[in-house]
Amino acid sequence: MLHLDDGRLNELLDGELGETAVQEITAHLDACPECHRKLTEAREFMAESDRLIARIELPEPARPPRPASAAGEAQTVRSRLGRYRNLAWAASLVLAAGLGFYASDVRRVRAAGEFAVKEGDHPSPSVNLAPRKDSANAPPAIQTGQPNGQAVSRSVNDQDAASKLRGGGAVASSQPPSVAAPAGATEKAEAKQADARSLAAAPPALRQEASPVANEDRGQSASNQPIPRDAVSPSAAAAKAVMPQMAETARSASESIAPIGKFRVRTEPLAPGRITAVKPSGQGLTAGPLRQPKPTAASFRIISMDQAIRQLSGIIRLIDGMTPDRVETGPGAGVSGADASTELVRVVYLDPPGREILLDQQRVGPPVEARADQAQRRGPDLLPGDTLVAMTQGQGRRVNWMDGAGFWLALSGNLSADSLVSLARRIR
Amino acid sequence: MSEFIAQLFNQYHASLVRMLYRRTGDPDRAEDLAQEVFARALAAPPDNPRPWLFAVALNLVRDDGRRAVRQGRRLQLLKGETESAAPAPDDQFEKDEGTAAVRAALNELNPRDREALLLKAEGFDYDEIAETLGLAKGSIGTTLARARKRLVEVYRAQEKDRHAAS
Repeated sequence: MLHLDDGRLNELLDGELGETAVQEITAHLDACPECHRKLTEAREFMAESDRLIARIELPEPARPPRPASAAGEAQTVRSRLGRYRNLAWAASLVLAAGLGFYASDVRRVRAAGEFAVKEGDHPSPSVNLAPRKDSANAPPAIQTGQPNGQAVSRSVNDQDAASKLRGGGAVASSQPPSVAAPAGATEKAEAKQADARSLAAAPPALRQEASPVANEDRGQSASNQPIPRDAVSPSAAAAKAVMPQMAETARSASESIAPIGKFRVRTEPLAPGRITAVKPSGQGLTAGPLRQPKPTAASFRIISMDQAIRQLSGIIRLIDGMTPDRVETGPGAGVSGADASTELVRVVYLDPPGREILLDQQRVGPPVEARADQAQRRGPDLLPGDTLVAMTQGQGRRVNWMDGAGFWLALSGNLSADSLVSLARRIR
Repeated sequence: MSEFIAQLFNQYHASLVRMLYRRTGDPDRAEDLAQEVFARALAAPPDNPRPWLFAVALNLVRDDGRRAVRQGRRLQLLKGETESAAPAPDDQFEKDEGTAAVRAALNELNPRDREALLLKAEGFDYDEIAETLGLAKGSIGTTLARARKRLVEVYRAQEKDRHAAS
């Protein structure tokens, strides 16, 4: 039997051969060290190539599209602020959810005890289910949005307090309790809920008249003590008790995320086009950028889009559908292919993984169709209409060309040649 | 009909997009091309869907490349050009250099070898590769052997150069 060729060995490794062929080849391999060595080599190539190809995986889902307006620099910076706002939101939600859970827990305990829970029944020592005489001192936020309805029914107040804490808005009406009361207590609870709903919908005066009735009903479970009209519900009291602790947690959390450098970012809406920061010392307002983006090279400096347009005599080339991260200018001497005697404009984009894509451009004069010599003085390798895709150091790629409007352009990035050319096609 | 296409989509879309991404290097373009492939499948449902879908996808990629040439941009791929005066930002592109190196090595293969390799990576057997690429089944083993060897050798050479330069 002749030696096995690479194709046959790959068929063997890929399991493409029939049983008879496999037996024949196996027998030959046992007797032929040369083919055995080739098989080992083919197996290594196969494993290595599979491993290499598997490294090219689709990137993570792209970030949300950036604002389409190139002038939306402030909007872009605000989107960076968004992550801090999101954290602040998360802290607020944790606070609200914790209080809501706490309130519902109180209600659940009361329902299980047929509204006869005593002080010692609740696991938390900070919760006082008895009417609080000092409740008038409770913060307004805890005293619900129904000043006259607070003493009507605990379930009303519980729901109001929990809803208010969860939603942060005014509470219009109470909802039936979601926790099922034990047999016998259900009817009472439903009757109380009906009373509460009708009272909540009634005018304030009527609700005040109805309050003693509700107090009497509640008195069965609360030592028959009259409850002041402005008393705070147990869950609200519980909320008040835990509020300072949770507020402190939220405050420390917000402090841990808000400071950026020596500034603290204000949470109110920002004025369009600028970021406002406040010095902790309170010595007055100071306006300044939230993040100081760094130029791509030491000899480059960041400029505004307007400045770049002026530098390019009124026209700038941008990639259609992408929003620049920043615009820079710097000497052409440091960039391969550029006119060393003038400064170029560099528009910096970020691709979804955060890698920079650079669009360098110089206005070199009138349309190159009319002035072909304009291009020739930039080097023999760059003629009007030519495209040069070259691999730069570090596996990045660069496309240089001159367009018909008298622009020298260079697009570079760590992208494949196809991707780079695809992006170049979108330059307008 | 739409159910059939939906089934095809669920079964092959992810694989098709991955193959197209490996072939083009552009996730958006890969997604667009995959959508186009399924739109064509809706218009003319294939009998043997998998080779058909991938063959149409690879044809679209080639057409796309030819269109770029027609648009007047002559493409010249020059390896290893050194840019002595290259600006510092190029250094940032060292990120994810492993993937870029593999892609660069893959681009060194001839198109047929590269496509055979990418189809094999998607689990195609020799019959399906032959049907997708319009080749004889008997030549697939040799094609894959050549492609695998070339990919690994080019990649190793690039790595060697990179380490020598750094």
